[in-house]
Amino acid sequence: MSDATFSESHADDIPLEATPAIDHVKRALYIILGFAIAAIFIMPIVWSVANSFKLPAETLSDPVRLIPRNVSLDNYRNLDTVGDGLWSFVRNSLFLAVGTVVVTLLIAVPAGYGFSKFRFPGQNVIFVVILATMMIPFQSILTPLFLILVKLRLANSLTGLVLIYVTFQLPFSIFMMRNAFDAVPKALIESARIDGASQWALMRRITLPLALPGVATVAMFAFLNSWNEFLAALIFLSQEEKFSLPVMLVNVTTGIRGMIDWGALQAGITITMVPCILLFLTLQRYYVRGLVAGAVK
Amino acid sequence: MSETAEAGPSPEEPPVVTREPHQWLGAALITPSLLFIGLLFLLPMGMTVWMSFHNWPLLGEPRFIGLENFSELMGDRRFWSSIRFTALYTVLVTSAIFLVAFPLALLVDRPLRIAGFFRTIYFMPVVIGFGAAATLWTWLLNPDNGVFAELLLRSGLVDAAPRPTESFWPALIVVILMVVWKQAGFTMVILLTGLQSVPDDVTEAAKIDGAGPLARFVRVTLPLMRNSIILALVLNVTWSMLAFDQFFIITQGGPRNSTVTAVFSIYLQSFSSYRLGYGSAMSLVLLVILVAISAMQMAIVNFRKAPE
Amino acid sequence: MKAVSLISLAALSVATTAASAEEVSIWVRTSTAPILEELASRYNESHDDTIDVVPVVAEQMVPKLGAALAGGAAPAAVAMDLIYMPTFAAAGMLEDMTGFIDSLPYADALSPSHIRLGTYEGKKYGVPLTPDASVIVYNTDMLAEAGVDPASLETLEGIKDAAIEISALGDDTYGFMYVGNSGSWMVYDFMPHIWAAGDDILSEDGRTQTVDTPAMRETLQLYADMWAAGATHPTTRSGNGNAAVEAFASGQVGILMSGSYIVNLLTANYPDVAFNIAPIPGPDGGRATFAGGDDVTMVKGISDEKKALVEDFITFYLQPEQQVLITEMSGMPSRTDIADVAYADFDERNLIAYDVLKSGRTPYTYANDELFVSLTGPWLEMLETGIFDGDVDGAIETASDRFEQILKRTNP
Repeated sequence: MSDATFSESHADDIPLEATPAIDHVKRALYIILGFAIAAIFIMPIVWSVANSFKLPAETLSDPVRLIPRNVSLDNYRNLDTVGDGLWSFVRNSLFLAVGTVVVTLLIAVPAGYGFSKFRFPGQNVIFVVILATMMIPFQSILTPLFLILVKLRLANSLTGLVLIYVTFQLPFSIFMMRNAFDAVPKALIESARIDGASQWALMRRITLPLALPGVATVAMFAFLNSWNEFLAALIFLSQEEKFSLPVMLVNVTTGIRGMIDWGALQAGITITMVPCILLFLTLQRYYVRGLVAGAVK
Repeated sequence: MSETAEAGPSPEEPPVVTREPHQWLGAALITPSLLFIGLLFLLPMGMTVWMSFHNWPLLGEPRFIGLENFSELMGDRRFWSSIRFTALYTVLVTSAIFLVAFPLALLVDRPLRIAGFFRTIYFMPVVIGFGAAATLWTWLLNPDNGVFAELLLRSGLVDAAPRPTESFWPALIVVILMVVWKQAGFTMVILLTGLQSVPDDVTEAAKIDGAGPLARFVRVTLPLMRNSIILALVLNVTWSMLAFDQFFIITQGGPRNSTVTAVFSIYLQSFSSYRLGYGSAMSLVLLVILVAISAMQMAIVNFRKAPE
Repeated sequence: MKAVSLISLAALSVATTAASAEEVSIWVRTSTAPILEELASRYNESHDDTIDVVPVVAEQMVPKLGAALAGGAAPAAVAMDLIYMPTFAAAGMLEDMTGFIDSLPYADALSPSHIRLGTYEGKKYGVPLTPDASVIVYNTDMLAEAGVDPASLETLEGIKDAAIEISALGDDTYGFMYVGNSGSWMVYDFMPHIWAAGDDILSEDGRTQTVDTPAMRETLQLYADMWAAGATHPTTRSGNGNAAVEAFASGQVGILMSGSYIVNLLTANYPDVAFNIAPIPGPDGGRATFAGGDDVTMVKGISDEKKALVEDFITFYLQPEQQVLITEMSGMPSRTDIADVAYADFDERNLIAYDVLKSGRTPYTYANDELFVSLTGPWLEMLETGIFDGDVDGAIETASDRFEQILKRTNP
């Protein structure tokens, strides 16, 4: 059901009961209204991207114009004068996002499998405890987390931040993966086992492929959340060479060289935004699946 | 999030044997996740409580002071005003999001290809992080060369570029506008799932009974999509109570500290004043407030469930 | 023969430097970064060791440095706004530099305010890098056009009248401007009014507040009057330092609260602007200045090699050639004994600021960030309420309470 939300349409709508002429007018009005609202939602993004490709002077003098008079990458080049340069921030953000995705999957997929296909003492209690952690926001335990990272010698380290992101990604991810494995028919597993498939082969060849959409959902959420996270990155990363893209953006808005470079800021925003949007457009059905995981239950 | 708990393995499920033979393997598979949650979630939770009883400087030795942090907190006008502001923001932004998202959900709930396209567009700002969205709006709003100032000046509506972040209400309103822009699509999708979960035959039956479209919506559709409404409400309220990025970036807490949120004041105490113990006490209070709000929302759901 | 030995000597020196090349990073707030970067690049060109300059946004310096120190990722040295020196020295986070400082032949000539702020319990923790003094800069053409005698700028009362007259010159013309949205800017530019009248906001030892003084009330009221009369440039309330300089240089502003660095900045970038410098007066006269700037300080526990390198770098920038560079970029040398050399090639208007610096003051407090710098601190709150909302009484009352609370808690 949830999958249908974005990609497919459904037939439970009330048919328009009017004559064809009025029908057309209604439909035209509907489309006009829909596009007008779409413009509101998309224009800020379009303006930012458009301005990132203008000459810095044009960004300042004519921010409204959508097509740059001269297409230029100067705004992007100017980002290189911020800290260790644009690529350093992109690299750090990629490390955070990819690291969080990989570690989250390595931990949540087996855990989901364990909760779905095994019975062991205390299982229900543990599962409820894990889910309960979803209710506690990590914002409220930032200081002790900081002290723990200091003790682990992982303060001011991207790896340390990945571990924190993973922890707060886990409850949702384990929940998603358990549901995904639950959906794999038992008969299929039984027959494979009768055929003599080993535990490992079972998971790799039968269950995992069937649970792949769940994996995609978990991976996508892990990527977006860690790529976009700001508060923990602001607190835990104290050296400029470790800063992620959102922290860099805020430094540019406060004026890293005393003056705010609005053009470079648009370049930075575009680089931060576009991967998320592309990922969403390609994998939107998985995103929505995760979003409504609890809603329809 | 009661829904998720309900989804847990229920006791009536057929026992063990039909599942897997190797119980120990199941336990082994979940061990790494328990390590993470234990070390980086349960331990810090406990530490927050422990630290709140201490004078705990960022550098130097912690000293046990009993309940001193809490008694100071009781009289800390700035902390309570940040809590009040956070509550005000939460009420306003949640209402605003629902006011926008509900019509949007109805609008895109059509069996048309174009409706799917609209859904995608309306949802797009959701995937942009708060950091990027807030810096983007800082630029749009800036009076010197921002898009909004330019558009307003060109249209002749204003003589001088507005400076919304210089006074309280304009600052709050632009932040709310930004958040509605960014988050309305999210609530829209959740409400949409609710709308679509209402079975056709129920609405049809109501129609045959002679109920008008509005009556059908209020009496049939709304109660049936209660779960999605509650989910959207709980998530929006929780996120707004924890707001930080948008105020740190767009208003920087100003003007005159009037837009410092609860998390913002915890950040300032812990990392600008280096008072980790006091910050922990603040965190605990915030946590209690959050749990109370969630419990209240759950109670309201259950209360409303009863008469049916 | 000679050539051979030269080559082998060169090879030898390459070998030794490769083995011993050391690198240290120095954190610096962004406004001072260009100077330190220029000094570092000169140093790196002529030395085998490397000084790596890391700019940090001023408002984030305290949170970032605290987190880095606690997390063991601190830099070797920090060019720190001198007003933070007591806080970090009292927290035991800085390396004692008394021996090194006293051994310098020109130790007595180092900017006294910097040394005083960098001293805690008799030990010295910092060496001056960039001193500067807050001053008034005014547009002589605009004053003349409005018929204002520059001598009337000797009281704040006079400045107010002048500002209102200058504003009358045109629609886009304002008499007065300052950086109203920055706590550190306002300590720098606003506090001297209070000092000039003989009052202060903190007691001598920095442990108690004296916010509510006649001078504070009069000064806030005069500022509020200028704001209410529309004589203050509107960007004052939210703009940063650059906006102010641009507004002044483009002839929109007659009188700007500024600092000694402004002379060289204007002559270099806006040679057509006719301006002069005046000391900051109290409501009814007197003169004072904020002795500001950065101290270079070392983080406790760094290795002896790094320590030696930082000391070498400090000695390097205290040499006359580099002092000329610092004067060129920031308007003032770190040493008071080479003013003649440092200023030889520069505008004599610099000397007005240099003169007042001798009587410059800086508040010695352990809670500087919380009180004055933080965007959410009581100082900025008081100025906003008093000046832009016009509620002087309310502003002073709230500020007295909050100063009291913070001091009570932070006094070591």
